[in-house]
Amino acid sequence: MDKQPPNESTEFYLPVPREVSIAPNEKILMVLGRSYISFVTLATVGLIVLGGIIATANSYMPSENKWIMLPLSVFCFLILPALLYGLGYIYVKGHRYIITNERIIMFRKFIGILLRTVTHDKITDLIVNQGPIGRLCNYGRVSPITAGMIMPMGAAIFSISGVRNPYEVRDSIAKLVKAMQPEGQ
Amino acid sequence: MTARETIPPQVSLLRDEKIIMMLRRRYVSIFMSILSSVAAAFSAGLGSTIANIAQRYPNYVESIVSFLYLIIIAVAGFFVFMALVGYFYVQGHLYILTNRRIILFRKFITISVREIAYSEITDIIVNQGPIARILNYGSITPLSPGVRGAYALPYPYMRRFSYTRVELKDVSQPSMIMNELFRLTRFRK
Repeated sequence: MDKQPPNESTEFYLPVPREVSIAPNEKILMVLGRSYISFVTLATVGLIVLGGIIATANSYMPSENKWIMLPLSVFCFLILPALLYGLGYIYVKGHRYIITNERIIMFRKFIGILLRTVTHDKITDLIVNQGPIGRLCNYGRVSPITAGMIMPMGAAIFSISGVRNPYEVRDSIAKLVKAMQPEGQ
Repeated sequence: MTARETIPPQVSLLRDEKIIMMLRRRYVSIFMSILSSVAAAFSAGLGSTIANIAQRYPNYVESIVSFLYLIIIAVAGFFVFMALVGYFYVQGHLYILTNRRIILFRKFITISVREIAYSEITDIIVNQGPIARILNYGSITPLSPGVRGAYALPYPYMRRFSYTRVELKDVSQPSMIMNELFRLTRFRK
């Protein structure tokens, strides 16, 4: 993550990952990152569900086997949250969403690398999703949909997840999509 | 990678079509496939088999040791066999990037060819697992309305089932290739 967007008109100044190359006649308009709170919400919900499962198991478990609950609780309520929130930070920092005048590049580097690129003229729909916490904290997921995606499975495809001001991002992409399409469409 | 090789007779180029790149699958990737298959089979079957032996035989320690030797020999044999077969399998993969389309060709027992025009590409997805990142290879999936997103799961370290040629599998320098594909898709004449 060492390249800087090359021009002064960039709206956001997050570095562009070195794995991403920009064409010479391409202009970076935005470089977005994922917000940590989006991951924290997800992880916390997961931990609450896990806590519920452990509490239920505890109430139904025979008393001679209850000794296992102590190490299990220590793992689930002390070690696992520390691991989850710590690794989650690295996971979130591995996300970059680069919007150029030609395309959207969605990049994630965490253990492996996943990179998706979509040119604006191939976008058919733009979907914004916000959960209840996302609405409160103003983050959400913007999914650029193309003809190459099968819905509803396509909803699982790599998108612009956990970005701040998702409606602003949506509007910026919508403008670019409109500009790319031929007159009258 | 860009060297002009002979194209297979099953692939025919158009009159004004020029080859830009010819890519091959990396042989090292087959080892990762073999290792992951062996690890999956091992973890799925070994525990239950050992438990079964321990229940059935009174002198189970001896039986388990013999069983483990057998497993090691079987795995080593399988590995050597797959490495040999894998060499020919990998050599059968050829991906041709021309100025008009991508041709994905695989010849191994059967023949499979997929051609996709740049104008039909909607998304380009690059997947690299942890080992692939170290060795700088990865898979590039050009999605089109005909070959859609089920092949592009959001987790690069998951093995995907694909019996048809939908991706440029395990090619060197995937980021560079993806950029070239974008350039051809967007700025081709």
